[in-house]
Amino acid sequence: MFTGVGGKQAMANGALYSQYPAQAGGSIRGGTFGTVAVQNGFLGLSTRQLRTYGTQIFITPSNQGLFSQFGGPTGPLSVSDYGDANIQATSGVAFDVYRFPTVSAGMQFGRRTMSTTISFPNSSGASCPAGFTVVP
Amino acid sequence: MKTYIMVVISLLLAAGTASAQCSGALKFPAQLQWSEAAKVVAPNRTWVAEVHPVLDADENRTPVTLHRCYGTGSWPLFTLERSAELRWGADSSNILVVNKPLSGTNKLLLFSVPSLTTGTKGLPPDALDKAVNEALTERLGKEKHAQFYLPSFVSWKGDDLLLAVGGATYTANVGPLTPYCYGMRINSSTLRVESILSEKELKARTGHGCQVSP
Repeated sequence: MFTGVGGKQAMANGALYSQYPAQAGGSIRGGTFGTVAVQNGFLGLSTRQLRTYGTQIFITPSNQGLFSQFGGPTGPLSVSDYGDANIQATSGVAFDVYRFPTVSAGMQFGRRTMSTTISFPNSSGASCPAGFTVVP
Repeated sequence: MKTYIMVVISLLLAAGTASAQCSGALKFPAQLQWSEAAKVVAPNRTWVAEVHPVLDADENRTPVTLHRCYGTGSWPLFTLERSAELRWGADSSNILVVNKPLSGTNKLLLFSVPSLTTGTKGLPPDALDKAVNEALTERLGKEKHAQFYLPSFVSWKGDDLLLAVGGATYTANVGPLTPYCYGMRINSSTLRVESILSEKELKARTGHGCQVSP
């Protein structure tokens, strides 16, 4: 499940951001264009691990045309934050997608489902979500 | 005599430390972030809310605690997982927190300092959020489900708390989202939602709008 987020209303830097990356295991600013917000425990990783590896984890939705139709990001999306309560409560894998050019465009994209490829470095310790097929 | 002088010096030093801890400009709301230390002093400079970042943990679990400016004692308020806005009530007896543990979903917390520090039973801190959520669910109706829930502060005079409650809803599992925005006037003592303003009324009366998207 992908949910569109549009406009530039975000004030917070996000859960993966830290002013002290050396102590915190890294820092990723939340909500930037071309990133997604994920579920807690995404790929079996802790928050600290996501902070370290989030920029090396790539989510590639199959229907790129749908994203570009509303002016959203295309190509692989990396991880930058934790998504809303609905994202957390979704039984499968779900993402908030940053960002569509306007709030209205994000709302029009709304909630979409499609097949998706997720890639991550082996060294991250991540594991494939249930229902996904591992491609060597 | 020597002991007496030492005690007096110790007390003066302790008072000096406490005074320094609660000096400085008062700024509301305080924007809190899980990895940054912060102190938010009450208007009467009797209390201070402190953020002590825990940087080396697997999960963000930064404690926010209440302390006396003069004297001992501390009380846990909440765990800061991401970011939050904290403001003191004008009489320094309440703390309102717009906690933002997730992108797109805020949680309101209202702390009563007397209840907290004397151990007297009061409403739980998340009772305000429950009251707002219930009023919102009723207003949206059964068909609409909130995807984003982003209540924010507008004003607080006496017991009259006004919030802008915005976000987006969905009706079908797949499809577009629809924005919503209401003003909610709440009695901060009873947590009763006294009235709900439309987006237009909220804007006209206060000049405030809602945040509808993270």
